Amino acid sequence: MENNKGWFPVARVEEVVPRHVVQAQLMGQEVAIWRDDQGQVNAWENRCPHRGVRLSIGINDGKELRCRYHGWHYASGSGQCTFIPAHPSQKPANVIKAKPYGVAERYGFVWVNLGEDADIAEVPALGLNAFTTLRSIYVAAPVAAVAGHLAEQGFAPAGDFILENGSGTTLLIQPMDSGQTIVHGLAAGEVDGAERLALLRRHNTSLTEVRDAAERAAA
Amino acid sequence: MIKLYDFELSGNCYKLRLLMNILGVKFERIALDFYPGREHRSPWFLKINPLGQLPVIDDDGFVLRDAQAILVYLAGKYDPSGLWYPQGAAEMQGRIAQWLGFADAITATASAARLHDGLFYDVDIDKARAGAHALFRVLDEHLWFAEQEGQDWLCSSGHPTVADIACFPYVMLSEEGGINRLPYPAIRRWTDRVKRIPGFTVMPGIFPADAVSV
Amino acid sequence: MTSNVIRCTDRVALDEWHVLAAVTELPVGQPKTTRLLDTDLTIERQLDDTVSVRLGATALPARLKFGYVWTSLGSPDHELFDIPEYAEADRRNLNAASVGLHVSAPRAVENFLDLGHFAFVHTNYLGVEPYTEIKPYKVEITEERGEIIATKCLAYQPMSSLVATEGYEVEYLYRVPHPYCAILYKANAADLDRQDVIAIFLQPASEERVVAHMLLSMLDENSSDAEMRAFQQLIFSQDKPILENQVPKRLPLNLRSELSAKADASSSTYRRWLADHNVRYGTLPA
Repeated sequence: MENNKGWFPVARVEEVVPRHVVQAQLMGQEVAIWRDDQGQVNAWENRCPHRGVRLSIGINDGKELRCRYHGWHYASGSGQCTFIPAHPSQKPANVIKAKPYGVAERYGFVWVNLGEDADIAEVPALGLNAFTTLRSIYVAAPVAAVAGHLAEQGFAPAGDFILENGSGTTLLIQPMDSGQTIVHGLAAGEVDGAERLALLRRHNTSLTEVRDAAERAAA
Repeated sequence: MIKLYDFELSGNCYKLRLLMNILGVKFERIALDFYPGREHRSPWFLKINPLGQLPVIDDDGFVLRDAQAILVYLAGKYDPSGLWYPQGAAEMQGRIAQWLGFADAITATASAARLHDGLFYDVDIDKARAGAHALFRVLDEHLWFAEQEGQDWLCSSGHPTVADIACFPYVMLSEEGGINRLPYPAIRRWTDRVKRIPGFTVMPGIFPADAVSV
Repeated sequence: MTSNVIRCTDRVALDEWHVLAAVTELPVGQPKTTRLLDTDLTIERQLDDTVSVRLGATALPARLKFGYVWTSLGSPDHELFDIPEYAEADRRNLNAASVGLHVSAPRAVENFLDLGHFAFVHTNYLGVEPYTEIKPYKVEITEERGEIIATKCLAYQPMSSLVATEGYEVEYLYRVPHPYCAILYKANAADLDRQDVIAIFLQPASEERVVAHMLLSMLDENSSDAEMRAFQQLIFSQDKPILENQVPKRLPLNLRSELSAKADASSSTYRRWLADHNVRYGTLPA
């Protein structure tokens, strides 16, 4: 059994596209995820430390994230504020920074850890060498309800928030908050072209049925 | 010059301002006092559009109402590339019409919610929000699979069409009606792509994709 | 949660006057429901332009001022503040808009006082890059009524109003006479000795929802009412997505929860002022 030590997937790697900011939520905490032009991925508390505006509506300029309200600039990696337009010739105080969370890219997903001492070495090892990431499904229902309906589809726990169906599909559960869940998926083996699209569609269809059942039950 | 009967804060009027800006078509805005004046229901305007709705265009005597219809007309008449509304391509025109209808459904839900929350229109707000979320799920799934096939737009791989313009505004303004887009990452990527179309212009409530300055 | 029972327990908010509606937007003889401090009230404009305010069957005090109806759910020990300019003979006085917003009243007041966002939120109107520098300005509390006044607030504005024909450095004066109201005074482009007055009066429907009523009291001989309203509606609609994306929605009064720059002098003073006056509704305590 794999203990996830606070590491959760929040987005597919290929979806954290350049010059974009992903808006995610993990255990009630909103996270802004963005990639600089060098490829480095950032996962920050989704709130500018100045006046609390969501960084996910900000501008990813390829090097820095700029808050939409007053245009404060935050450096990729450290989250350090590097420029305050209202005081252009002054260096912002060191204490002004966006709050970065632990972040890693594994198995085609961006993983985030909200904890203080997040250790990348503790991202769950799934034992997969070749894999295909599937469409992530949002469900307006609590984790337990989703897991229950997934169990009916043959998915059994294989770790904290990790389920497997014994025929090559691994599901990774991202609890957004007490009433919302995202189910990420991996199929063992690397598939291409038409076969891949067919796999993606099949998975999407069956998880959508699980979603609908879980939401009907939660209503 | 095309006359556009317009209201600054109307997403439907913005669809036309947006496409005309992209196509480089000059137009004259005739601003109606939608709020608080309800000028769109005044006798003089009802003579122009008996439905009492904005937008309407008057192109040198050719008068047309309905944002989606006007988008089709403008693309047909003023797009030399023929890419915004491809002529003589039945499947493509069918797809576009499908998504123009979808845009109308977005107006009936997300725009209604926005009018309720902002201007206190009498709307069944729970139904409007639930309706918008149901549509956004369909849209997110469609866009996600389109991306998997290398397509950036609602109806075509290489170029946006009037369908993208029609669906964009009330999706982008959905939070004003209490409809948040966090569950729809493919929609969020698509709205960024729409904002980067050359000639893109904003309306109040919508921000540009990139900083104007370096 | 709405109710005919008063659930709000913040004495400061209860014993204050609050705006409910612009009189001209109330249809005569048709009762209208509106929410104040989580309580549903009924307002009705009569043929003689008086307005009644009721909580269930109980009549509440109604004051007509600046073209709005105001009420209180408690017992104010003061009358509503004045805006002397409103009474000047050549003023154009109107309600620009009454708009619902999903944010607390104090956040909306702060946004109204803020200078640093002009170039980013009101690009090419009230500000433009690279003219983003905010020079030091003065903030004080008046002896007489304990109001916040900020003076010498300067901003370079490409199109500061409908009558501006070019960009120039505009000087603002801000005044906060009420926890949920703010007024700005800017030199009129045509007559620099007099000032245009724009005010925001927030009706706190709940701790995290408001109706923002915006008063224009302008010196403008040429623009129509509709044109003046349209400009203010445009500006306000640009602020909306910012306000609705602030987290938390209530204003934190702990000065260390959010980090300030020198340009935020008004905001820091306002937060301290709210704490000193024990304003709890719409705020997070220090």
